[in-house]
Amino acid sequence: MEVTIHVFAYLRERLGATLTVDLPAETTIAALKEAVSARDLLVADTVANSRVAINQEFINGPAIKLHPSDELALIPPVSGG
Amino acid sequence: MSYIRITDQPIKVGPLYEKLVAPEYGGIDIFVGTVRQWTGPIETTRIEYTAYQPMAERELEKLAAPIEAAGGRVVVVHRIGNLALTDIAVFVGVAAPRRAEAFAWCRTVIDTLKQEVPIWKKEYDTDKIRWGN
Repeated sequence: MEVTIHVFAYLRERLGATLTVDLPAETTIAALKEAVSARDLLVADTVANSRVAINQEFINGPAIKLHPSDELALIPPVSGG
Repeated sequence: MSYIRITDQPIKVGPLYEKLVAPEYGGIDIFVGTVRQWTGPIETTRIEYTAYQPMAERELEKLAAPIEAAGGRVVVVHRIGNLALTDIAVFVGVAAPRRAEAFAWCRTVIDTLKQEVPIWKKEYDTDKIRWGN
Protein backbone atom coordinates (compact mmCIF):
# COMPACT_ATOMS: atom_id res chain seq x y z
CA MET A 1 0.00 0.00 0.00
CA GLU A 2 1.32 3.45 -0.87
CA VAL A 3 1.39 5.79 2.09
CA THR A 4 2.45 9.42 2.37
CA ILE A 5 4.71 10.38 5.26
CA HIS A 6 5.05 13.96 6.43
CA VAL A 7 8.54 14.89 7.59
CA PHE A 8 9.93 17.93 9.37
CA ALA A 9 13.00 19.98 10.25
CA TYR A 10 16.24 18.45 8.94
CA LEU A 11 14.32 15.57 7.36
CA ARG A 12 12.20 18.05 5.41
CA GLU A 13 15.30 19.80 4.08
CA ARG A 14 16.70 16.53 2.83
CA LEU A 15 13.53 14.77 1.66
CA GLY A 16 10.91 17.44 0.99
CA ALA A 17 7.70 17.98 2.99
CA THR A 18 6.29 14.53 2.21
CA LEU A 19 7.40 11.29 0.66
CA THR A 20 5.45 8.32 -0.57
CA VAL A 21 6.58 4.83 0.34
CA ASP A 22 5.21 1.37 -0.23
CA LEU A 23 4.44 -0.52 2.98
CA PRO A 24 2.11 -3.37 3.93
CA ALA A 25 -0.98 -2.35 5.93
CA GLU A 26 0.33 -4.29 8.90
CA THR A 27 3.90 -3.21 9.41
CA THR A 28 6.30 -1.91 12.04
CA ILE A 29 7.84 1.39 13.00
CA ALA A 30 11.24 -0.09 12.11
CA ALA A 31 10.05 -0.93 8.57
CA LEU A 32 8.61 2.55 8.10
CA LYS A 33 11.87 4.13 9.24
CA GLU A 34 13.87 1.86 6.99
CA ALA A 35 11.75 2.88 4.00
CA VAL A 36 12.50 6.55 4.73
CA SER A 37 16.21 6.04 5.43
CA ALA A 38 16.58 4.20 2.14
CA ARG A 39 15.89 7.49 0.34
CA ASP A 40 18.93 9.33 1.65
CA LEU A 41 21.84 7.92 3.63
CA LEU A 42 22.37 11.23 5.41
CA VAL A 43 19.02 11.04 7.22
CA ALA A 44 19.59 7.64 8.87
CA ASP A 45 20.68 8.98 12.26
CA THR A 46 17.85 11.50 12.48
CA VAL A 47 15.29 8.93 11.32
CA ALA A 48 16.54 6.48 13.96
CA ASN A 49 15.92 9.11 16.64
CA SER A 50 12.52 10.15 15.27
CA ARG A 51 9.09 9.18 16.58
CA VAL A 52 6.12 8.16 14.47
CA ALA A 53 2.75 9.90 14.65
CA ILE A 54 -0.42 8.59 13.09
CA ASN A 55 -3.25 11.08 12.77
CA GLN A 56 -1.29 13.52 14.93
CA GLU A 57 -0.85 11.09 17.84
CA PHE A 58 2.51 9.60 18.85
CA ILE A 59 2.57 5.83 18.30
CA ASN A 60 4.91 3.59 20.27
CA GLY A 61 4.61 0.44 18.17
CA PRO A 62 6.55 -1.63 17.44
CA ALA A 63 3.66 -2.94 15.29
CA ILE A 64 1.49 -0.45 13.41
CA LYS A 65 -1.60 -0.84 11.27
CA LEU A 66 -1.97 1.61 8.41
CA HIS A 67 -5.12 2.79 6.66
CA PRO A 68 -5.13 4.67 3.34
CA SER A 69 -6.61 7.77 4.97
CA ASP A 70 -4.07 7.92 7.82
CA GLU A 71 -1.94 11.01 8.27
CA LEU A 72 1.52 9.60 8.89
CA ALA A 73 4.38 11.69 10.22
CA LEU A 74 7.97 11.17 11.24
CA ILE A 75 8.82 13.49 14.12
CA PRO A 76 12.53 14.23 14.63
CA PRO A 77 13.69 15.20 18.13
CA VAL A 78 11.79 18.37 18.97
CA SER A 79 13.45 21.64 19.98
CA GLY A 80 10.76 24.21 20.60
CA GLY A 81 10.75 26.76 23.40
CA MET B 1 -10.68 27.84 28.66
CA SER B 2 -7.09 27.48 27.55
CA TYR B 3 -5.68 29.67 24.78
CA ILE B 4 -3.21 27.79 22.55
CA ARG B 5 -1.71 29.19 19.36
CA ILE B 6 1.16 28.63 16.98
CA THR B 7 1.69 31.92 15.18
CA ASP B 8 4.01 33.59 12.70
CA GLN B 9 3.24 36.97 14.25
CA PRO B 10 5.30 38.67 17.00
CA ILE B 11 4.18 37.70 20.51
CA LYS B 12 2.93 40.53 22.69
CA VAL B 13 2.98 39.75 26.43
CA GLY B 14 0.39 42.29 27.55
CA PRO B 15 -2.71 40.93 25.78
CA LEU B 16 -1.76 37.34 26.73
CA TYR B 17 -1.33 38.33 30.38
CA GLU B 18 -4.80 39.88 30.26
CA LYS B 19 -6.23 36.47 29.30
CA LEU B 20 -4.97 35.08 32.63
CA VAL B 21 -6.58 37.67 34.84
CA ALA B 22 -9.74 36.59 36.68
CA PRO B 23 -11.08 36.93 40.23
CA GLU B 24 -10.63 33.24 41.04
CA TYR B 25 -6.88 33.37 40.52
CA GLY B 26 -4.38 34.67 43.06
CA GLY B 27 -1.21 33.68 41.23
CA ILE B 28 -0.12 34.07 37.62
CA ASP B 29 3.19 32.56 36.57
CA ILE B 30 4.56 33.51 33.17
CA PHE B 31 7.54 32.10 31.32
CA VAL B 32 8.78 33.99 28.28
CA GLY B 33 11.42 32.29 26.13
CA THR B 34 13.55 34.61 23.99
CA VAL B 35 16.28 34.19 21.38
CA ARG B 36 19.66 34.14 23.17
CA GLN B 37 22.88 35.36 21.56
CA TRP B 38 25.46 33.24 23.35
CA THR B 39 25.46 29.51 24.18
CA GLY B 40 28.90 29.14 25.71
CA PRO B 41 31.33 30.03 22.91
CA ILE B 42 28.66 29.74 20.18
CA GLU B 43 27.20 33.00 18.92
CA THR B 44 23.70 32.77 17.49
CA THR B 45 22.49 35.41 15.06
CA ARG B 46 18.89 34.27 14.51
CA ILE B 47 16.60 31.24 14.87
CA GLU B 48 14.08 29.87 12.45
CA TYR B 49 11.22 27.91 14.05
CA THR B 50 8.96 25.46 12.25
CA ALA B 51 6.14 23.27 13.55
CA TYR B 52 3.83 20.43 12.70
CA GLN B 53 1.22 22.98 13.50
CA PRO B 54 -2.02 21.01 14.00
CA MET B 55 -0.28 18.33 16.06
CA ALA B 56 1.65 20.92 18.07
CA GLU B 57 -1.59 22.65 18.99
CA ARG B 58 -3.19 19.31 19.89
CA GLU B 59 -0.25 18.33 22.10
CA LEU B 60 -0.43 21.70 23.86
CA GLU B 61 -4.18 21.28 24.38
CA LYS B 62 -3.47 17.89 25.96
CA LEU B 63 -0.93 19.52 28.26
CA ALA B 64 -3.39 22.22 29.26
CA ALA B 65 -6.38 19.94 29.83
CA PRO B 66 -5.45 18.46 33.25
CA ILE B 67 -4.39 21.90 34.53
CA GLU B 68 -7.65 23.43 33.40
CA ALA B 69 -9.54 20.50 34.96
CA ALA B 70 -7.73 21.20 38.25
CA GLY B 71 -8.89 24.81 38.24
CA GLY B 72 -6.08 26.63 36.43
CA ARG B 73 -5.95 28.55 33.19
CA VAL B 74 -3.31 28.01 30.53
CA VAL B 75 -2.13 30.36 27.78
CA VAL B 76 0.58 29.12 25.40
CA VAL B 77 1.70 30.87 22.24
CA HIS B 78 4.70 29.68 20.25
CA ARG B 79 6.04 31.68 17.35
CA ILE B 80 7.29 30.17 14.09
CA GLY B 81 9.29 31.75 11.29
CA ASN B 82 12.44 33.84 11.50
CA LEU B 83 13.25 35.33 14.89
CA ALA B 84 15.96 37.83 15.74
CA LEU B 85 17.93 38.09 18.98
CA THR B 86 15.65 39.00 21.93
CA ASP B 87 12.47 38.12 20.01
CA ILE B 88 9.94 36.11 22.03
CA ALA B 89 9.79 32.50 20.85
CA VAL B 90 7.30 31.23 23.41
CA PHE B 91 4.89 32.55 26.00
CA VAL B 92 3.62 30.18 28.70
CA GLY B 93 1.25 31.61 31.27
CA VAL B 94 -0.61 29.74 33.98
CA ALA B 95 -3.10 31.25 36.38
CA ALA B 96 -4.01 29.35 39.54
CA PRO B 97 -5.75 30.07 42.82
CA ARG B 98 -2.38 30.02 44.62
CA ARG B 99 1.26 30.50 43.70
CA ALA B 100 2.48 26.96 44.34
CA GLU B 101 0.27 25.55 41.60
CA ALA B 102 0.96 28.48 39.28
CA PHE B 103 4.73 27.90 39.48
CA ALA B 104 4.49 24.10 39.23
CA TRP B 105 2.03 24.03 36.35
CA CYS B 106 3.88 26.68 34.34
CA ARG B 107 7.10 24.71 34.69
CA THR B 108 5.38 21.49 33.68
CA VAL B 109 4.00 23.12 30.54
CA ILE B 110 7.29 24.62 29.32
CA ASP B 111 9.36 21.56 30.26
CA THR B 112 6.95 19.18 28.51
CA LEU B 113 6.64 21.51 25.51
CA LYS B 114 10.39 21.24 25.02
CA GLN B 115 10.26 17.43 25.15
CA GLU B 116 7.03 16.54 23.37
CA VAL B 117 5.56 19.25 21.18
CA PRO B 118 6.51 19.03 17.49
CA ILE B 119 8.27 22.36 17.04
CA TRP B 120 11.83 22.70 15.77
CA LYS B 121 14.46 25.38 15.83
CA LYS B 122 17.18 25.92 13.27
CA GLU B 123 19.89 28.06 14.80
CA TYR B 124 22.01 30.31 12.63
CA ASP B 125 25.35 30.89 14.31
CA THR B 126 28.14 33.16 13.15
CA ASP B 127 30.02 30.15 11.71
CA LYS B 128 27.44 27.40 11.11
CA ILE B 129 23.82 26.30 11.11
CA ARG B 130 22.54 23.92 13.80
CA TRP B 131 19.29 22.05 14.22
CA GLY B 132 18.25 22.24 17.87
CA ASN B 133 19.23 19.11 19.83
